[in-house]
Amino acid sequence: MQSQSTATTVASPVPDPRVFPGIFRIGDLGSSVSAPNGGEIRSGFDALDEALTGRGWSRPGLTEILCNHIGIGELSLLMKALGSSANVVHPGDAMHMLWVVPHNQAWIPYAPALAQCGINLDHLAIVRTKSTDDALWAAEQGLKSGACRSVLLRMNEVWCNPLSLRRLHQSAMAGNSILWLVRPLEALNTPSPAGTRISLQPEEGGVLRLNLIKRRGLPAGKSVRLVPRTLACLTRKPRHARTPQKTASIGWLDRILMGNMATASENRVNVRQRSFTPERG
Amino acid sequence: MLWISLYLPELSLQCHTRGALGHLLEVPLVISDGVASRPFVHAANACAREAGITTLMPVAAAQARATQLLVVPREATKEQETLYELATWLSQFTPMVCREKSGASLEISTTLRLFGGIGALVGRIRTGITSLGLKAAIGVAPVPMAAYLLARAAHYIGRVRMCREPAQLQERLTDIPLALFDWPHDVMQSLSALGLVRVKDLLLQPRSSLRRRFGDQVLEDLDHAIGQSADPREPHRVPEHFSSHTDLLFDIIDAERLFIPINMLLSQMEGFLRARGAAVNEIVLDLQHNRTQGTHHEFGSRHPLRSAPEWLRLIRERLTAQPFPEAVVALRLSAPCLVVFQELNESWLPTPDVRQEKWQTLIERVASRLGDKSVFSIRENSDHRPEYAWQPERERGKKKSVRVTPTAQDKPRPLLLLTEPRVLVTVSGAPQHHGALALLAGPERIETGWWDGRPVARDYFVASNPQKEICWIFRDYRYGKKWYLHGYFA
Repeated sequence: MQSQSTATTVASPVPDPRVFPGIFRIGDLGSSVSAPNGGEIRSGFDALDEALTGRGWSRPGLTEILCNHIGIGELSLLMKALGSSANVVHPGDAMHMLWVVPHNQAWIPYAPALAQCGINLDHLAIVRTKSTDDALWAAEQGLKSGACRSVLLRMNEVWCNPLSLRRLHQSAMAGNSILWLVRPLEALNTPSPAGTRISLQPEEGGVLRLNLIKRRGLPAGKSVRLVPRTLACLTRKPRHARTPQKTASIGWLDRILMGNMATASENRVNVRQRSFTPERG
Repeated sequence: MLWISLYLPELSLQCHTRGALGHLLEVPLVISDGVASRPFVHAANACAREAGITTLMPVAAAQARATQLLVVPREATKEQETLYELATWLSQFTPMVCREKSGASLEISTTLRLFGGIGALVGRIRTGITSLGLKAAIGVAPVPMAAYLLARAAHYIGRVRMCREPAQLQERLTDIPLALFDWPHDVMQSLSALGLVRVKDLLLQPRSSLRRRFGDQVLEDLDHAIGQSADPREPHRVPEHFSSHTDLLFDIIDAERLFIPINMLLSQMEGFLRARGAAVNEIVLDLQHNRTQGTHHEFGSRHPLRSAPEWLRLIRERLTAQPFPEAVVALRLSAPCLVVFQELNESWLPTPDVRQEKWQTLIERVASRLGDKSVFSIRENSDHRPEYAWQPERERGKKKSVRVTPTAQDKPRPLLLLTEPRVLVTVSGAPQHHGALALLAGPERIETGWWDGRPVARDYFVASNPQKEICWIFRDYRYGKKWYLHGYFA
């Protein structure tokens, strides 16, 4: 491919991207020619790399991930990019990561699981904030400091001031870092300066469907299916096919193991909806 | 030997105003001296000079020229304190610093190469002096007396070339007026009566008659200046601790304006720390108010810092967040305990050290605004209980070399762990979380911790609900056999 482009340089009216590396050409999507600032972060999923501009998460800039659920693999999607050694780190390139956890979230990133994903915990710092404003401030500091390769922020609020999003985007550009902003799906209707916007939808068997709503260059208009998590139980054959075990002597557990819960669980959904208010929101 | 001398022409004025540069530009201010009944103007600031006030003018006459004139009596102790602090600050460039009557001299032949030559060093001293709120004329000569004379000449006459060769010294000094020596008034009068005005006039006279007429002092100073006799100096001793205070001439309410004197004190501290080869982890800032008790602020950093801009950034984050109750009239900055500072090697390409430093700065900054507990890194812990299998780590400087044996290498662990396990509602025995949970994997029995009073006995399962969220749940066998949600495979 390189040799082809060398041969056509003379005849082609289009400037050679190697001569003018700063020019972003729409036709270059997915080619080996890197985009203006270079340094895309490989996502670790070939199908996703194909779909993203420049073959990877675009850096620097803001990338929005829209999903309403917790636990569908929305973070595992990023873990390969964060932990993989496939991404060459140039000398002098920042390699730290800031994870901002706002006040209204009851969880904490779990060190053993992160280590399983191959993430160097020495390069990770967690910031717990008391308000959303503080969270945005901390993310902005991290982005523009130039010390962070990436910043991860999960927000529960649907509405976020477009001005502060733009500030975040600008700080990311200034610090050559990437901000992954996980927001509820309803934020889709609010304006955003993000270069990439992806909405997530869980499917059977741990498969995650990624709808590329926005990306740099040509609109994508297609969705990508991938399995973000490496849980053995997701790829294993269905549970009910196995012989029931007598380890736990719980009546209902045996019923699940036998596979006759299908109708019962539907009833339970209705029961739950009547008696509980959803815990999240 | 090569000496740099600093002469502070406006010392009596600047020891009062250096903390509050921005305020005093628009207020006429004079320093008064002399007997209390008939004071005269010893020094006047730019605004007062503009109004026509000159030095040696009676204060009453000066008050007639500027209505809102601020008269501050001269304080000799304060001038000495300022000179002492200046000498401490200058000790960062060389161990041989000595105080002059209104300035300081430092011997720099041994450290000249380190600071990149005489030009770079003088430039550095000049900018540093400005950040201390002082103005200095600088002279360079092979002996301290001549350097100080050249510095004074640079102020009174104009640009004076530096003199680096001892051989040129006498020739360079011939035209220097004798008035620049600090000789007594009667000596000066009889010298001028004899028509002796410049150094060259004095050098032509026979030494014995000079000694008879003017005493030993004149001849001794002259010999020191032209390098004829040795001029041993006592080096300034850098104190063990840093504590400096500044009185503000005006009360300050606005935090932004307070950063000017704070920055001045921090630059002073930086010079002191460089002189001692140290850094500090903690500084204390005391603000004094007129009516109420002073406010006490302690600023900590996780790794030793010395540079003034970094400290100022930490202080700024805090002080802007919590305004002080009343106008500030004075402030004191002190550094209680010093630690050894390890400087980074400079390199052309950015190194991991530079990266690490940037990162540390970021962490400090976030911690100073959001609180020290809000920023931490996490690490694994050798414990089978999931809530103890990790721990936050705040001390970044001290790396514990504890070998951690991961307890769950091939077992499923969730990316997000709930800080408190959440009780799940059960419907006819089956746990619910946004719908009925279907168990995908498990049980993983964790039963341990009986020895330290926090025992657990749980069966962990990977479960998924109808919305295809995958959770980590457990059934507790110790307290009531309830189901709990403990994490998300996010």
